Amino acid sequence: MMIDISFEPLYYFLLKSVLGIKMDLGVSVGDIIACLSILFAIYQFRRQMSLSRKEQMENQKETWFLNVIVLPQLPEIKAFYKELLRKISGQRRTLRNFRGTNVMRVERLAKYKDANLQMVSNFFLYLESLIESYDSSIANKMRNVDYDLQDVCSELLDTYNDETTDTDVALKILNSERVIISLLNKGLKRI
Amino acid sequence: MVRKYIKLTTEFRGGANSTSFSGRKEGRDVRGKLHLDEKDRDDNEYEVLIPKGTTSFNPSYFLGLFYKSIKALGMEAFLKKYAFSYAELDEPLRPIIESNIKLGMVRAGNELMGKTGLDSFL
Repeated sequence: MMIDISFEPLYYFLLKSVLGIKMDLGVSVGDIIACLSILFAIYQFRRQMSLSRKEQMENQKETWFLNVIVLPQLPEIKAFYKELLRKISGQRRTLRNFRGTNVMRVERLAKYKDANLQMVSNFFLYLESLIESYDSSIANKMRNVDYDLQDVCSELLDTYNDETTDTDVALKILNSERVIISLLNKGLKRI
Repeated sequence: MVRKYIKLTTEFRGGANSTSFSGRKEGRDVRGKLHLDEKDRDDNEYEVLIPKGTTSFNPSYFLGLFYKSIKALGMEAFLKKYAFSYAELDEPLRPIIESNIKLGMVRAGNELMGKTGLDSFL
């Protein structure tokens, strides 16, 4: 290689310097610990960030469930069960005091049962679709309560003539309300 | 294709004095007694006879009895295969029980449209 004569001293100086560099490749235990500590700190930081993001999302979900479903629906649920209780008690009384023929009484009984089935079904379809968007397992449980309540309503009208079952009306209907409220509370606790 | 009858009797209703067909379990039990799983697979058409004196046919019972068939066949094929007869009922009760059956079908349709709540207990 031809080097300009004027650069020759600099060239040799640099060559000597580069060849003279000695690298210390030895890694001490202290270095490893320091390195691991940094990696662990980074991992902890990222994990903490992810947890707090998750926590924040869950808080938002809980607030949404509470504000959109539970709180606005509580008066609706109370009013629904109160109305159902009033209706069924009245229907039992009407059937007991009915003065028409047996065929007319049976027709009245069937009409009441159908109206109750529609009332319960309509109320729960609305509630179940709201809950479904939040938690499908709670919505499934609610659907079972829905079908059970429909059956209870029919059963309570089947026994209209038995005055000893009058106390069952409030007991059975309010028990269904208790189950619904407890399902909604469970929804809040599980998040 | 042969047209056959499925006669639902008063014993299939819930309770001794009940005039209601109600309860998922009761519906499922009757499904077994009527061998509906086999009937779903044959080529016959069936007419389901609702007994005289029935005052309600609840969705719970309807789903216990027929949801498996509706799920296996699809709603359209189910309605083609199984028809409901209200002829044994007193005239004024017919539209009421028909309304109950329709409600059962609506609920079954909802379940088929992605809500699988029933699968957990059927």
